[in-house]
Amino acid sequence: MPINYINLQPQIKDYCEQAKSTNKSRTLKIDQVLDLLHRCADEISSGTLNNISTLSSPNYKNRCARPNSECVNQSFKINNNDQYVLLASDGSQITSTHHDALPISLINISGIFYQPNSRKSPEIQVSSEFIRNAENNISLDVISEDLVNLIRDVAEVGMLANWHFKTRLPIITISDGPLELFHAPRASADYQQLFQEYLETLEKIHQEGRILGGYIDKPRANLVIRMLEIIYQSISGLDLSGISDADIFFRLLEPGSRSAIFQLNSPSSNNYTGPLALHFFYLNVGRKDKPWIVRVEINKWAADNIINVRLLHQALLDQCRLMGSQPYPYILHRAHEEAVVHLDEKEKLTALLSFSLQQSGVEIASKSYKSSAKELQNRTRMK
Amino acid sequence: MADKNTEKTNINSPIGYVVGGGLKANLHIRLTVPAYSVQEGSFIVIKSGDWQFYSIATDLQLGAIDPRFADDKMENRLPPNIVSLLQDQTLYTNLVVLPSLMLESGPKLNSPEHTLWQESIDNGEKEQPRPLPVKTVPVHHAKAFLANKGNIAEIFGKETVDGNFVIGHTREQKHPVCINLDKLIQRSSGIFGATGSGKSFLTRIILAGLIDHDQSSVLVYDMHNEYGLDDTASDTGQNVIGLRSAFGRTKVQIVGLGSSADIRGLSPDFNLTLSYKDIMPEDVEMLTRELNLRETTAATLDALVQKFGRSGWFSAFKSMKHGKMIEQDGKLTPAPDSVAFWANQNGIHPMAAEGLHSKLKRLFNKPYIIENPPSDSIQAVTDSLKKGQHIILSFGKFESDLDYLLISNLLTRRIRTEWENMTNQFRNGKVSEPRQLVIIIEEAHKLLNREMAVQTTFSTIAREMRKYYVTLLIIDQRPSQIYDEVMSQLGTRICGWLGDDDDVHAVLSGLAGRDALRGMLARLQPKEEVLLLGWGVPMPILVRSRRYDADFYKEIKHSIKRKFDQKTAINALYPD
Amino acid sequence: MNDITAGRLLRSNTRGCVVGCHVSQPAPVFGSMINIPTKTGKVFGLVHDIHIDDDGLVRQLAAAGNLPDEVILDNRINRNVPVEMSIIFIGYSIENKISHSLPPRPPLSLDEMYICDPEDLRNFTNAGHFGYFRHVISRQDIPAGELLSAHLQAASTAQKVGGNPNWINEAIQEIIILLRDNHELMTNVLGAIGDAFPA
Repeated sequence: MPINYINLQPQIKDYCEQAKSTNKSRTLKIDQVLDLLHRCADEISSGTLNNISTLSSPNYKNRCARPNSECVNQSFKINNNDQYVLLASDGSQITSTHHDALPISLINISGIFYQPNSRKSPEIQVSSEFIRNAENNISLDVISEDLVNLIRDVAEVGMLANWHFKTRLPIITISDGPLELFHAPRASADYQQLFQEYLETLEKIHQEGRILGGYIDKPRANLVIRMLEIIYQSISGLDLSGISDADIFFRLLEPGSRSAIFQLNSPSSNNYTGPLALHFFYLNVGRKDKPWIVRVEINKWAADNIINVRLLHQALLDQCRLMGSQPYPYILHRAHEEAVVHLDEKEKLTALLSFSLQQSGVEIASKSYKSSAKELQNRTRMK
Repeated sequence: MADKNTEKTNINSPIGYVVGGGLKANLHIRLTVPAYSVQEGSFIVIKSGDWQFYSIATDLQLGAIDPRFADDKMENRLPPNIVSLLQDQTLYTNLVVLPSLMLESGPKLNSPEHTLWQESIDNGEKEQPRPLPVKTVPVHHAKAFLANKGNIAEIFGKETVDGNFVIGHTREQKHPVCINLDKLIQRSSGIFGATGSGKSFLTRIILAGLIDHDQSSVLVYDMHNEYGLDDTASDTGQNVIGLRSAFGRTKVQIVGLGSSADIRGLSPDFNLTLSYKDIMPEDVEMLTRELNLRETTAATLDALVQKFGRSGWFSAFKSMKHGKMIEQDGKLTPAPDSVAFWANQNGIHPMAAEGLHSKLKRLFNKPYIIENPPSDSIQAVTDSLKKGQHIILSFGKFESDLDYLLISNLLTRRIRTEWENMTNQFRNGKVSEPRQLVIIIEEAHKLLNREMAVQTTFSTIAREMRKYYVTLLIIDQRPSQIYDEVMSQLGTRICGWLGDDDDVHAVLSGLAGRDALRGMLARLQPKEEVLLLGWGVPMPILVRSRRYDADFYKEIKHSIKRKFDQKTAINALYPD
Repeated sequence: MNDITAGRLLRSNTRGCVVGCHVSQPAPVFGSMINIPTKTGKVFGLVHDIHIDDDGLVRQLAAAGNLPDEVILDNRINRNVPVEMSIIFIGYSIENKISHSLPPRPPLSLDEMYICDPEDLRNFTNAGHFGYFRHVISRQDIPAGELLSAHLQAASTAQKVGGNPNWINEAIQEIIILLRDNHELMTNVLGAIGDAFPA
């Protein structure tokens, strides 16, 4: 049944009223945060910041930023013409449910290798794999979506680590989304093993000397705000809720500029140690009339190397400019395009499997009637 | 389609194909040659199956598949070769032709069917094909050709056949066109054309042909002394050979009017004088308009005839004195030899009689009308004509309409009587067949207008006298003035350019397809182009007339049709 | 005859078909004559439309401007967007006998398409008397003028080589005859042909 729009009318009105008043307070809060940020920067540089020790070590309970070596309110422009090569990966999957006639769990990973100024078309690799079990056999059971996602994430960074090519130029690898996996840690052995594999792959990328960045488009995190809240918790009545870091850096960063690099402090930070320690910075990939803030996660090995940071900064801007008015790294978009599995492909694959199984004399169960009912055709008109 | 600039029409190749039309509306031919290679008046042959259709082009019409193709000048927008191809397909010229005759030409020559067809003709199973009035139409896309020499000869006859006389040539290919002189003289004919269009030259050509063919005698009323002796052309200044110079005295005699007649200082072969006895009352009545006679004339003349007889009235009337009075009983009374006296005696109003007498003085004073001429010159003329000589009556200084009307009518009346008698006797088996006589009259509208036609003998001749071996050849520039009953009797009409619509209408009256030919007459070249039409020609045709010059006579004299036998000629002239 | 395939059939009906080609394949140009071998012979056609569809990414990239060669090549080579060609059928052959009528059956999916060489052009255009023009002229949805103009250019060149330089005049004449009841279309078609064959 369709939405009861009449029922919603007064609610829409309330929504707008609330948003209006929230917006007013948001602006005030943003101003306040900016003031605090500048104050924090001043106090760090003068050595007068009192609560900095609170952030000196990772606080497992707080998910927030911690100042790194750069001044927290500083912004950095780039004007590089250095040569580099780019490698990006993305992944897609087919997950099964109990309603399916055939449980299919599959990941589809794409990698794209792009060499700017080479006048060559990028190279593309796509790898499609059924999910295997611990015995390395194709799993015929229903596998949870969460696990499939994790397997996929691991495979994505695996693509970035294992694709080799001849070049003397710096290799910048980019993945879509944060480097910090949200699935980990879990208790089950599968998850543990996979997470471990993930960390090892990250280390491999490091060993390969590649620069790795996790690109988060439209970040909603408030890591820096949370940092300021903690530092200035003594200020009574300080309420910085309802705004995000992006709101702050919209005002702080000019187009093409990045923020200072921060350390990422989170419950899972413990897992990312040494050169794998997670850092991040904000980057304005938009235009003067249309700024756009993204967050880029990097590991410590990248954060400590300003040259790598500049290369990554430059590469991301170059890639986003290619997409014109809707800046997003071209290479990530292409990687997604090559990786994405459409719904009809699941159906085609199911049909292909069914046919092959029938040829082999294997009986196939039917899909659930609940699922079939959902797929009933809409009304048609006689022509 | 032929290249417009360079290619001439190949006479053996078709000029187009039939696309429409019919018997009533004429046939339409889509030209496949440039429009300028075909002209109005061209003789066109259409071949359709076993038949050939002979026709004359009467109109050319420009057309287009779509009027926009004609309006748009594509030369500015497309390359020349494409424009040429486009115009070939979208712009056309239709030739409108008037079909007149059809002839069965049989199956394709040298084919077995043709052999069978020919055999059936030879066996008498089938009639020998001859040109027939058109009764059907050719099929769509039947090919049309400009007539070749053979086509012309099929219809108009070969020039080598006795009786066929080349009157001119087709305009495009200059093929000779003949008229059959024997057929020409069977009915009265006419030569028409505006002043200066060459009627006199055309008449000379026809006369030369008739004289040379010698199957008829001609009597020419040469009002302006043009035909007998050599003359000088008014426009070119060149010598124009006279008929007497060309054929000699033996054949052609010039008769002068009056005893002391001379023609441009030269004496005629003999003189024509009239006796008083020759003047008949109807001769005078015919001159009513010319002499401005009153309505009482007829009564007065009748009284004179009653009194003095048909032969004596003129002499008697002439001798009466006009207005002579004597004194009697103290009163003036008309003298006994006066007109008034006679009038009173015979119940005629004296003033009417005196008025007539006064007006007849113009006749009384004519020097060629004498009481007792030395011989019957009218009879002499008649006898010459019967013997086969040709007479050119030159009026000399007597150039008035009165002279022309009187002499031509009077002489012709006598001739007509003579020929009627001969014919009746011939039909009774008493004498041999009379010799055909053609009387040539110029300014025919003076003698043959509506008013005069009923009074003169000429209209009778035009209507009836072909049965009596006498026909007319009338020459005129105002055919509209000629009595239409006379016009309708004309067999052959030879027409030069005519500017007046009424004249054109008159010439074409009574003929099929006259609407189609009307424009053609108005567009003839002012000189040397004539349209032949009527009963005497198989179908209308436009020709460029022959030139009347020394070469013309060379061609005639070297004709192999008949050899001139002097002994035969002398015996014919002097049988005793 | 060319033996390098220029594409494969995607869909077809009696009057024409759509062929998909990869950008790396030898591509026929607008107006080219092509042939598609079938079980019984060949189907002949003219390329009347070449279309390369766009999608959101291409539109966005085009608007951005200043594209590096790598991005352009990526879109041409890597992205699965084939060049599609629309073909109008103009005749067929069975056992080497050429007819200018529509083929009795259309070709099948994935049948290969080949570009006709000059000899093919001559053989086809010499068969009959330009009967195939009617297929082009009767279609309202194709650029008849430009198509005929392009075809005539190629065919006349082949005919000249074959010793018949007057072929082009005969062809133009036939077109004029077919179109003389349609002044507007005639003007368009002749204008296109006139541009291709200037004086």
